[in-house]
Amino acid sequence: MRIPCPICGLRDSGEFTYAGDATVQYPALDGDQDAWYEAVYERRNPRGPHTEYWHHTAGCRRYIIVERDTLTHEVFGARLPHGPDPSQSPEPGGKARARTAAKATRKTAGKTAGGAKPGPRRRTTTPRGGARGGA
Amino acid sequence: MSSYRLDDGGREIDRSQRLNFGFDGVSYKGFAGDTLASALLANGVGLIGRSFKYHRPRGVMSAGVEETSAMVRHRTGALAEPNARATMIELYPGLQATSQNAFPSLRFDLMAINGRFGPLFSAGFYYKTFMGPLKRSWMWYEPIIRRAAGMGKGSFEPDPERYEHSYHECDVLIAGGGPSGLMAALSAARSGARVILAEEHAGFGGSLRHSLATIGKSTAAEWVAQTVAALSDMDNVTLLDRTTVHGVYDQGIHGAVERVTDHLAETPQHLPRQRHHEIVARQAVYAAGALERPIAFPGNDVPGVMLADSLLAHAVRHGVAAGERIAIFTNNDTGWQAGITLAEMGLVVVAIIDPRAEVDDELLLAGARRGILCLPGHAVRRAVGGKAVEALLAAPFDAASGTFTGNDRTIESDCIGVSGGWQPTLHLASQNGSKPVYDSGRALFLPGDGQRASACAGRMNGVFDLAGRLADGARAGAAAAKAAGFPARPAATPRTDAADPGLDAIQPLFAVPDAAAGKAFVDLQHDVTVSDILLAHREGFHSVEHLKRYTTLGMATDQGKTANVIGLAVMAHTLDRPIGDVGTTRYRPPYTPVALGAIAGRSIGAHLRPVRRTAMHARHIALGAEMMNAGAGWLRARVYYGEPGETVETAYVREATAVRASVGIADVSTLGKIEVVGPDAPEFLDRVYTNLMSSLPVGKARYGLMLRDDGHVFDDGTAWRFAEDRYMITTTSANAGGVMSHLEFLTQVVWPELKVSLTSVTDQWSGIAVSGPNSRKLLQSILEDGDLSNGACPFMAVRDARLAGMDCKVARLSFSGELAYEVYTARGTGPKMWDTLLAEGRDMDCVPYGLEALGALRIEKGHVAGPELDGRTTLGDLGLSMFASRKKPFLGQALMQREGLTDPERPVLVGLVSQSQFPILAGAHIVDSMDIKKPGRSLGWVSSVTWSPVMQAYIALGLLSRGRERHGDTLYATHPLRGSHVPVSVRDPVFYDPEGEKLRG
Repeated sequence: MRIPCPICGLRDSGEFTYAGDATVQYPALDGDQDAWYEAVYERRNPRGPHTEYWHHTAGCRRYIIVERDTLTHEVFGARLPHGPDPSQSPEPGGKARARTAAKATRKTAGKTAGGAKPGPRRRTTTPRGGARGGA
Repeated sequence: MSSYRLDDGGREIDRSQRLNFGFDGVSYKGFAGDTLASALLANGVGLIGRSFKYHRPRGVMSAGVEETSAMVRHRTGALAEPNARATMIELYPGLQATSQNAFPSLRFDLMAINGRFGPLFSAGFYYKTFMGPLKRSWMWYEPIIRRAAGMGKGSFEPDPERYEHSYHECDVLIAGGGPSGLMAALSAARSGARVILAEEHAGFGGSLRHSLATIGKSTAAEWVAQTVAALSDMDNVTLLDRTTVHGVYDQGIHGAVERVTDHLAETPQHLPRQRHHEIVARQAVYAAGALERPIAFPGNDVPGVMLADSLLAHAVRHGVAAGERIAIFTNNDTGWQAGITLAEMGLVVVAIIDPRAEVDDELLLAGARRGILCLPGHAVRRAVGGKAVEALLAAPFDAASGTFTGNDRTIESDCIGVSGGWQPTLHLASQNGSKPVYDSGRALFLPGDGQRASACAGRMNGVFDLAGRLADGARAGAAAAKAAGFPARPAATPRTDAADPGLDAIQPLFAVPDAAAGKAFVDLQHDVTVSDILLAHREGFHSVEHLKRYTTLGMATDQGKTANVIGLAVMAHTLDRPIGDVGTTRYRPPYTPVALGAIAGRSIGAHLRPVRRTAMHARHIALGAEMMNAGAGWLRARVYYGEPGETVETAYVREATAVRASVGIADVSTLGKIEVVGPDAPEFLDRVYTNLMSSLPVGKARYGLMLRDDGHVFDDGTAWRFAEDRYMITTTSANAGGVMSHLEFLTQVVWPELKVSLTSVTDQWSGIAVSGPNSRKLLQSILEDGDLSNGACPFMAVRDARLAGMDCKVARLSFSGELAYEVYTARGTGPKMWDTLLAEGRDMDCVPYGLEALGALRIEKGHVAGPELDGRTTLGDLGLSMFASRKKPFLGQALMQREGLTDPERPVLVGLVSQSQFPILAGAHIVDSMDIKKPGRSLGWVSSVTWSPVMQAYIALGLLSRGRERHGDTLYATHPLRGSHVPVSVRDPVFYDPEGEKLRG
């Protein structure tokens, strides 16, 4: 498999490390436990097109978002997780605004994390390791 | 069997080059250009091996890659390769091969008794007999069964051969160098596309290698030579022969193995044995041809029963007659053509038996003219013979009802050429997405729709006449080039005189009736018979996928190339359903077996993963260190054998004692080090560490723990603050890469708004821990500026310093519990610093100490490390809850408070002291039963163990349920697998200096 890294170009998948579902929205650090539970454990395992993170570990070390078909390994495209770096913004106060915006995104995301189905939670057992915990 | 070499002919052999070779220790002669199979046939050797289950005699049944029977062990010693197909081994001087699966000898095999007990070894035999009610007995029987029913034996020695990997990109890849593949290559190359043409055999040509047709004004062989020459003159064409495209993987990546030197007596030093090619192709043309299919009848495995076309291949290519009296059993016109051509070449063809009542008059005439007994409307009832075919029984046959209708007649014959039709080699097309479609008229599966960026050509595409195959190849090549973005310029198709009979008049016949009455083999390599399939059906295994697994049909090394279609036809017949409805099993790569060495390539031994050495590596070796892999590829000193006769145990106890008594130094360069820089560095570290790092004063270090997002402890280390916006954090040695990736994810993906940058600086520093009550004295003696007193350099202080002329950072950190420092210098300065410290410390008996002593010291101090931070423990489990800040949120905070992670029953960190003279074993479970035979429920486990010089006892750290309430209890550390059951007393994990007076002193 080859992945078109937005920084380095088309590279062999051996240079990358899979880094999990990129549709997951992480709640704020002080977000509630249910939102975090959903983000960490309630992952879908689609057969077909999927949006996922890959880490270019043996290249530019950027995390990129790859659209990939999990069945055929067809890669539809890859991009950086965020647009132009807001800290590079020429406007004054760019940083402060970016921070607020990001916080707002995280807050709302907490309520709709990953679009996962609502349902009963199993929290009485201790799952061994988070989905991307060992990263 | 009475096969022999013809007086002349054999277009691929060089009769001037006689070669000696050995089979089962007997010396034979062959010619250059022979295969091992053709050379053995030329020497009249018909019996080549014994079968898998029944140990029945087997001989050569083909002339190619589909061989099921002539399996040999090729070469000897470390080079020995089991299950090599004699039909694919090119003869070279001194070749040595042995038969497989025969005991005590090939001609007299005791295990052949298995054949007499056939019903015992029927489908599902292993499941029923050994894994059912008598489950336990499987353990006992397994080794015996594995010896009796086995494939060939490999070598237990390391493979001395070299393998290489090669990577290509091309516009059009063509798999198969027969007539359609050659035309496809020619067409694609003319358009300017970069073309790779891969051919499995030593020479190009495919079926043309034994075709007597003329193409244009040339013979088939001449045309192949001219075409290959034209292709090799083109700069945009790469020709790979002896190269099998074994699989299609994602995104048009094809795997191929080139057998570079397998045909040579010895591998020249500059060449690998095999080269694995990874080919990224924009478009692919699969021109892999078709394989002739046998017909199952009782005795169809006796040496001498072969595929009809392979008789022709052996005769034309190698000048070998596979028998003195050849009979042909065919249900289609290609078998007639093979028989008639053989007769024209001077071989004796005694009969052609055909279940079809109506056979083309011209074929009947041509056969009769050559004195062949033509028996349309007949079928073979069985072959007669044990180690070789002696005769066959044929009887009148009604194709419409599929029954025998008359009495047997015996035909004396020593070789039966069988043709049950042809099956396109669909593997690559199927792997690339095409679903096989059954063509009932011609009794074969064709590639269906759904192929990605590829197309089929020639026989593989269902085109069987030579003119059609040439044209189909030209078309497919041009179409592939066009799809890859080049102008379509199909090469002109040459004319050919070949009168190809084709398959239109085939009468489908897969197994003769009553085949189950005798041993009629479907899968010859795995000894699966027609009756096995019927039995599987009776037992309810109706899907082809179940059938395959229950009977092991098609699961041998040949992957059922000639067997699968017959198997599913028999199943379809039994189910009374059309063959197309039953479907095929999935074609999976590799097409033919691939040596593991070819897949590994050069990534073996020391090349498998990089070995990392610290700058002081040579110093450790010179000091007598035993080095060990300490994770992440790092080599670290385990112990230093300082005195004669020392063992690991005595050495580490001496080292640890010396540290506590005076001073010792240890190489800690392997600790992961990451610089965290930027205005938001304090905020960032507050989010990833459980404790506050923003409040850390410049010039100080602080211990910290990181959690995973699921609330478990991820890693620990220290953060050193060099400036308001500059920290260096340390990680455990083995986890440095993981921590870096984790932090990168957070900065790049989760919190892109933070102005912080991360740089791994692990390899930029040499680190030396200086530990022991005299450590200050030692460092002070070489310190050029200031002092290291408690006032100037208190516990956890970090400062720049010059030691003996070397710039460094000195941090007052202690892993051992003693007064201790860590000295960091530029990597290259490390060895000089090491030497200086040892030399200056000589008066104080300064010793180097290794990982074992480091472990002993930290266990005595109750410090957690890798064995405790195993990814399943929480802050609470480790007694580190005080590091969970309440002043700010941090990653993992939300989920660390889950019910399951705050359960009071959870095992928590305790210290354990052996109450006997025996060591506690790491990995032992903690139980409350005295009886090793009935240890009862596990209450926890032992994580780290050592002999403690301080306690003068074996001590351990462990995780024990309700451990804090059990201090003072006596429990047992049990390890039944190693017969260890040690009474231990439970206590606080800090064995040494619990008040911390020493390290602050």
